[in-house]
Amino acid sequence: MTELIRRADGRLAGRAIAILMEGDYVEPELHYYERRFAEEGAKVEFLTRLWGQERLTFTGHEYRLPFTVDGDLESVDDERLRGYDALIVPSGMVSDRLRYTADVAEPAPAVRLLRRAFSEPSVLKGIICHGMWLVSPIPEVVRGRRVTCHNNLLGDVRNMGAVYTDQDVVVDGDLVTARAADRCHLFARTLIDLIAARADRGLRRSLREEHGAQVPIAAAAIPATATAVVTATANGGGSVAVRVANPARSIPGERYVPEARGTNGNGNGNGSENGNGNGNGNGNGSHNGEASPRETPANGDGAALGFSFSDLVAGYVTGYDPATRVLDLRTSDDRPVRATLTDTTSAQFLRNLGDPYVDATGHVDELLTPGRHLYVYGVFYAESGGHAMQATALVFLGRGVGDYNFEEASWWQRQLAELARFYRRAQFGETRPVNFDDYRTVIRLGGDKSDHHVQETDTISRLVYGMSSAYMLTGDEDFLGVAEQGSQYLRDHMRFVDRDNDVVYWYHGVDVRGDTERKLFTSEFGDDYDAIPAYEQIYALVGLTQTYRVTGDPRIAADIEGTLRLLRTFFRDPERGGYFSHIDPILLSPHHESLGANRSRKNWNSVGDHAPAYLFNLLLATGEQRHVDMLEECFDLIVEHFPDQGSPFVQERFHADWSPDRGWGWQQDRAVVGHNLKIAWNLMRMNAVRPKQSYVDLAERLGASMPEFGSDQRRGGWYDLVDRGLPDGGGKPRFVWHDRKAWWQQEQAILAYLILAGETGSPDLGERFLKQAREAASFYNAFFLDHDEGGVYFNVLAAGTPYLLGTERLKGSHSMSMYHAAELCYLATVYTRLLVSREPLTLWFKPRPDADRVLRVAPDALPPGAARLHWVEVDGKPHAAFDAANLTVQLPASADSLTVKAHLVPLSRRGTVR
Amino acid sequence: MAFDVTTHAEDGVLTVRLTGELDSRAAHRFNEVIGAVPGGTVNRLVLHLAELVYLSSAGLRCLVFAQQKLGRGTEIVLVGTRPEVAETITMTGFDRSVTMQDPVDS
Repeated sequence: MTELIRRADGRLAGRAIAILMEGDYVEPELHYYERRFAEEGAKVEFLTRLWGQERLTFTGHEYRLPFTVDGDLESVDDERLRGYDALIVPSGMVSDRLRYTADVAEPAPAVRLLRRAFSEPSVLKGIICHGMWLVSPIPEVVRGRRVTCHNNLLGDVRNMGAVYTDQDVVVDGDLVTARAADRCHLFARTLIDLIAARADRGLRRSLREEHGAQVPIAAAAIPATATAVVTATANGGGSVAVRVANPARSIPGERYVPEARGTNGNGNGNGSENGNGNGNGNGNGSHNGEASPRETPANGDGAALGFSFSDLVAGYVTGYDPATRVLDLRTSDDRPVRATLTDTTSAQFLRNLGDPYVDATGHVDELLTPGRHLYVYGVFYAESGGHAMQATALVFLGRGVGDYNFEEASWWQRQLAELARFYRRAQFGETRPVNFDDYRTVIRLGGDKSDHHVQETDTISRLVYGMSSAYMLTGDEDFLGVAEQGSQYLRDHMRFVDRDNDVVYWYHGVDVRGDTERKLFTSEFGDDYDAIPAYEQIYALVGLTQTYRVTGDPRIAADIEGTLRLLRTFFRDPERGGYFSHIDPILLSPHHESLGANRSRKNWNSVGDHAPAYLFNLLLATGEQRHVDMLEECFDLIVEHFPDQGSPFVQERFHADWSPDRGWGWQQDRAVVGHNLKIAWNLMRMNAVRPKQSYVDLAERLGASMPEFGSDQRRGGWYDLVDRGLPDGGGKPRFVWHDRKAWWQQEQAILAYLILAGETGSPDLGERFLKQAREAASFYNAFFLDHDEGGVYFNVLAAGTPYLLGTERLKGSHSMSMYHAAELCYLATVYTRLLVSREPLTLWFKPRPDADRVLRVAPDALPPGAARLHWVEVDGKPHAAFDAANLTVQLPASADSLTVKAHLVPLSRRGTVR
Repeated sequence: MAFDVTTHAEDGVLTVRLTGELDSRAAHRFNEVIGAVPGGTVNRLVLHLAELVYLSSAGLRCLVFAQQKLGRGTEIVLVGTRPEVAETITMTGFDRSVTMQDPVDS
């Protein structure tokens, strides 16, 4: 065999990879690994069962090539095993031969080694093709996990309880699987990236240290393990009471949909509290004891509620006794809850859009280990002076303690692709290219259209945003095609080019009937009637700007510039700064008397929504400092005027002179919880672009105080509209219309806490913020994904049941149309990978021939040095002309659009998380 | 050239004759005239534009806004539009929402 050259300066220098070997191996595959990993600098060891020999020589499957192995898998002790970065089970008959055992009571040595490797999170398990056979004696290590394999093994892996995923390579935490030997290059590439990323962030070391005594953030001092499945230790102790605060009052009234600008419909806040599964049967025993001193029910003793009701609890397991099936939990705010499981308690794992239902009912006893975060839905029975909870349905968020399925590398990306497919199918069917004449703002729950004929500018632009973002993460050109057609349609049908003033503005929408279209010039929403709201002009740019990032289309750039001139000329307050919320449609004045309650006003949307809707993305696309200046002015005004000593929540509405407006419409003196979170999130982005302590201070202050006042610390999730003032005598703020939870406000929480966790300078705050990010992402993924129809729900009741009445059944209207859900998927991927778990990220771009020849590929407003451009491909070929630190690519001149793939890696920098 | 507007209503048809320059100052007056038309009473709005030599963006906004306020049942017909005025209209996409006729058809 020729001498292999191991590159000392490779990305994997100092790393070690073990590969199992036996006869009937696939020659090209094994030889590829041997050279490919050496090329990256890794040391490769081949291991087999030597049967007492010093070495064994195997012959290959196809060409009978000899391959000599002297590594003895039976001599690999724990320390040596932990020295490997990855253990690979290759294709061919290798796994079948290695699973041979003479003693039928004992698994083969290779199987035992693999089982030990699965209990070491620091060792990646790489299994390809028929390699999954080696797992068959130990199916528990892959149960509930996503895998791929050779098509011949489909039934085998499903019988093992794994979730077959139809992809060439599947990464599920520390398990990497690949379809077949002819995909071994993709498999090796993924392993190399993962090993490099883990080495970069020192993850292996930290996993090793934590293993065996990992302390979950929210359940300190409870020992647990990081392995997938461990046996629960019985813990019957801990006598606690279950009490409930009185159910939130529900006030009928005008429907309020803050971002969505709801049309009418009367949400009277009812809705059958019908959970998943049903918990009939008798409560077996009461489990009440002394109340925790922290529990002070607002409505006297819990027994005063002498009736049963169902409800949700989010908590971390503190104890579970499989004999009595008594489960003890602590909620996010550290309150104890006890529930009893019954024969009919069902359980499932958290699943993504497009994934099958993964049942966990048969494994509840093994899964209920201390520290585990889960949702318990159940019925509370009035008994013995308190309430006893009987669990009807459980949702497990991941396989092991501290595991969250949504932290798996491709979770959000797959979710975004599913969303894009849903909207593409609903709006345009199978037609190619898509035809926006068919687009309708109103689509029903399942995506079908009604007899409503309006196309709103904002909803088209939001859809375009979602499609462009889906392209950036997946490279699927069908999505980009939708985005480009949509941008063209906006230009042709929604744009008003005002030559007198040299500005561009956007119609509210058009009403289309056959060949005629009626322009809807001013807003049709009650909040903004007969006016042009800044909000709609701002969100008209959301999809155009994201598409401009991808394609560099100069026509889009011209329209964005025209709209910026509109905002500067007519909405801006030249004297006191900021932007007015409305202008009249004829004179374009913010002070016209026809504006009524919207005359000379400013609000969060008009002052701050520029940033998330288009301005950060425009800065990313162009790198122009004037956009930083505009952002800075907006955030300086927010820091100066929005915080309020009298409330944990910011003030959102103002008169021209910045005095608070507390009499406006539905807002009065009330807080939109999600706006507070959105401000925290975007302040951190601003701080990355032009750092100021005042930005971080306000972001961290909001981040630290919001969970208590804006979230549901018992059930999880984030509330909607609440009073800014606290009730006399303290306590939580009152709800305004209802205690439902809206999807977009969950998004704000997830993004705010991810970016806070990734960028805060305080380790203590970092852990708290990461816990909030995980709890928010858990609630969103558990309760907002519509697995039946596709897309996400608008609202859920406090306990997570979808609220599907009136306009809240719709999937296309207002801000529902893909933007928020897509932005969440896109940015949760960016923040999780680059700031939190420190994994690489690949983005796609498609610059046109007439685009600027410098392509900017920064994924978001991240602190300088947070990521580095590692490699670039142009039209499928490696491309060397890029600036790794500035995240720019020098494009060649081209007669056609170029497909650019940019691979970013996180840099090791000050890190507080992990 | 001074702006002038005259209106004539008959059988649900409102005929408006515009002359001169509909600049941004004149737009306010035009908007008052057109805004005074009660919604639901007009099913056809006919604008004679042969003598309109300039249409400002503000003037056009009045027209677009009027169409929205008059409701779906009202058809708008522009008669004898001069090319330079037609261009202003086309740039805003409003030509998709109205019927444009030559003067002989009126």
